[in-house]
Amino acid sequence: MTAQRLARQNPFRVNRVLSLRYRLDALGWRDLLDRWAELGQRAALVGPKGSGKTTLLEELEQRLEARGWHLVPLRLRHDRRRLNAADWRRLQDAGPRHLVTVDGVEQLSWWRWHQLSKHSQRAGGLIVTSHTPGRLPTLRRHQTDPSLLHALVTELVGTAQAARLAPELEQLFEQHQGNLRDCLRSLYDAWAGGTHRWPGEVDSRREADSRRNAA
Amino acid sequence: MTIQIHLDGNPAHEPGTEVRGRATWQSLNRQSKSVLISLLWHTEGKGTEDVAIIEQIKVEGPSAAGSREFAFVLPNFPWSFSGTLLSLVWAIEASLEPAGEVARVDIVSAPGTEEVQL
Repeated sequence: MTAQRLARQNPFRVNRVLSLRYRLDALGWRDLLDRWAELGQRAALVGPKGSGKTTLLEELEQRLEARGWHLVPLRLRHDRRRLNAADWRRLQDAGPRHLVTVDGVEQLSWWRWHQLSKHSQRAGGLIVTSHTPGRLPTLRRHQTDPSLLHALVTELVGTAQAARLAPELEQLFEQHQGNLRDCLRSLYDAWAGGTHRWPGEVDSRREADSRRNAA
Repeated sequence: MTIQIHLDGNPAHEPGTEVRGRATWQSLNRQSKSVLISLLWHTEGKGTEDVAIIEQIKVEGPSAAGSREFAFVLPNFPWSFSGTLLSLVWAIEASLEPAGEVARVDIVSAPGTEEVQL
């Protein structure tokens, strides 16, 4: 009998993927923050979809908050392309120790961007993410490659399983044009659909039996 | 710092029944202002995680080492369930505030004390 593959056991479930830390490679956090300071503390993280911009933004938020910055995080998506009245008020109230972060700034028209830029002038810091450069000086340009996908998958399923998946990871990377988020979603589906036999997989029925026995 | 949760008896329960146990902690530093013990459920799977905190007990100004008993009555709904896209998981969580170490024990709340499998 084939074990049912439960969402809570899926190694590619969203909360596990979100817990992956951003990989800064040779560049350290201090270098990155120094560069941000050199850019007048107003800069952009630039890269294509699924390349880790939001992950890096969230890590920067945590690190800067720990250094005493007060966060004003603003999030835009294709279905939320405008700031609301409360967001504008928070921008206007921001002062020298406030850090405004805007994820998905490409969603704003140039006019709205101009307004946001103007209203955030009093804030001590501004970091935005964008698919394209040009709105602010680029703090970091994001690029992905198959080895990065392999490293993330290794963290989620272990070295042995990641090695077995290596050829598939190359294909996935190509299929999703380097969008790591979409690659990991495809791997979720592959696991859920039983495409692979995974080491250490928990048989849900056996798990239920052992729970009954414990009772 | 270490914080742990110990349940009295089995982690699988009928909805509407009581979950009892004890949270214990050791070697807390001065920055730990409180210990928060929560009964909650959350979802896991392909989509965005959803969380609901049902009940909380707050221990203000905890000593460096100590413990606190808890007893929560599980609501009748939602039940623990799991499919390939989504799981709903009940849990008891103990956390140090401000944001610090977290201990969690998953429990089951469903008729027959077995997670409903979709």
